Amino acid sequence: MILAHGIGGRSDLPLPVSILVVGAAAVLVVSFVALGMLWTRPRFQDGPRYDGASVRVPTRTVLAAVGLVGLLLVIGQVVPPLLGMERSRIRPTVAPVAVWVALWLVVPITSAVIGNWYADLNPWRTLARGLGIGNQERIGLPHTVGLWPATVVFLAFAWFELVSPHPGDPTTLGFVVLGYTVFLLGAMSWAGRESGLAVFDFFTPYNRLISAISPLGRNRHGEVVWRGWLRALAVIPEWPGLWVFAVVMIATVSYDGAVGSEWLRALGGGLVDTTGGRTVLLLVSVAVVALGYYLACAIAARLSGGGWRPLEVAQRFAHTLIPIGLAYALSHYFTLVLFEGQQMVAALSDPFGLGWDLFGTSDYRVDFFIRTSTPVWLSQVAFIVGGHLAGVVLAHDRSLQDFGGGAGRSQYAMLVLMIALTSLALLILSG
Amino acid sequence: MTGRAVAAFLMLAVMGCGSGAQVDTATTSTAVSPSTTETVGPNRTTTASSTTTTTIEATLVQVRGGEVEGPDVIEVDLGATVDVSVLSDTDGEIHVHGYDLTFEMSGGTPFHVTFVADVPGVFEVEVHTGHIHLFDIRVVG
Repeated sequence: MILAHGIGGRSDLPLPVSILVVGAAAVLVVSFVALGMLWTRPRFQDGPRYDGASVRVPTRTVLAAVGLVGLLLVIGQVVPPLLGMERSRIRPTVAPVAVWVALWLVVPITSAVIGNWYADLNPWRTLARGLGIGNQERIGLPHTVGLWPATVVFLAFAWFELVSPHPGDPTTLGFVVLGYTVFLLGAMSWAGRESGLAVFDFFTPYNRLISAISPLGRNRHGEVVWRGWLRALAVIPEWPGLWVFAVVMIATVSYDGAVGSEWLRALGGGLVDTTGGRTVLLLVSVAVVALGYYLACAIAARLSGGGWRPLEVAQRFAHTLIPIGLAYALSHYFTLVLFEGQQMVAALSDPFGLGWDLFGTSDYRVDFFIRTSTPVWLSQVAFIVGGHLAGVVLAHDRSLQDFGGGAGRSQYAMLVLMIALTSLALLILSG
Repeated sequence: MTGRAVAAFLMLAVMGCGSGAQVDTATTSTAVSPSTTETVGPNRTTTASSTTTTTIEATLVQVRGGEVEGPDVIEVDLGATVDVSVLSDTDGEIHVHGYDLTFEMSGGTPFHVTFVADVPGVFEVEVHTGHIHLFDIRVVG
């Protein structure tokens, strides 16, 4: 088996049947309790409140600097091979840790709790600002092309990380990020900094969507304020393609879980070992999740009796998939973040793998401080059930808003979908 | 990798903690208790071990032209001592991911890799030279 991750080489043990059963039971209980107890008037639909106490957090410059240094260290990986210098270490350089742990996982996951700090960290915005690129905004662009370009970029990154043979190779990573930087600078000079990032830098909408879960937001003065969990999610703009973007969030993790599972290996045989086969599998995962979601929306549209079209419903309920997408990522990559994230300590001392020891930490070894599997399994199930609960609650609230009297029946379609997605998540973890 | 004939023979021995039995290409060893090795599925070797029994299973993995023939997954209990003996006709560097152990193997000379499997999970083992994936070690606990 080749687990084509950009970093690591360790994966979690599959969920044992006993914990799988506990998880499945929790999902059913949560679903039916939610159905029986939930409110009868929408609560989230008027969006977050920003009237609480606010705090000024002066981290913008620090975060911008960290982001820029990170970008330079990753792009800098292309230099040593050009100078004919050989990498001495087999442990990760700073590049795969910065990209595949920090940018790809840690930043979005933490933003679900502390708010969208990627907005300040984003090195491409800082770079464009410094170079004076993109001062003319094409204001309407995010509302015309929406998330479709970002979805393509998202899939391309996911392909590079989860399908391509050597996603962790520092030189390759350096060139890819260099290419991405050139692409984004071009996009920003054409579309403007904010519109360009919103449309073409998939990390921008990705972090924005996930951080809408966070109870912390910023008021108009840029101060951090308590706004309540999930509240911002119900009022995120319905950019064109939003639902497909959310589907890709779930589908990429599903693919990654499935490709390492025993049952797929038994089913697909050698197909899983070829890049072409795995590319097909990634696209099939997207198609399957998209189809399942679309069908649920079509059924909900019909049951609501309100003359809704399936694609309208798909957009209206897309935000309910975001907590589920986060739960997928969190349960699947939880230990990878905790363990492989520590590689940064050693990598910073020897960022290019040339045998340096800048801070005396280049020999740091990962501390696997969780020495039994049970806590890992239980947290995985807790994340999945928590994401499921958030999804069910948001879908219920949206049903009340959009379908009124038809809410009761129409939400069964969504509930069935969410139970299916959550069961899929558990199934993948147990494979 | 094609055209470069690589043939690696991996003798894998998984030992219980309480015994000094060993497996080596040059040494004949005896299992002190009946083997509890079972085949779970195709390409899969499971070896149970505990402090009271010692189970020794020799597994042969062949690498030819980058193609690995042998078990995909070798399963051991948490706390067991894994003993891997490798014979290859080419030089290379074996890396046990996670445990982050590296072993230089010289072509034609068998050598021992011993470590205590004290972290649960599934860990890749590969030859870094040429990125040849040998097998996964699944530490159960």
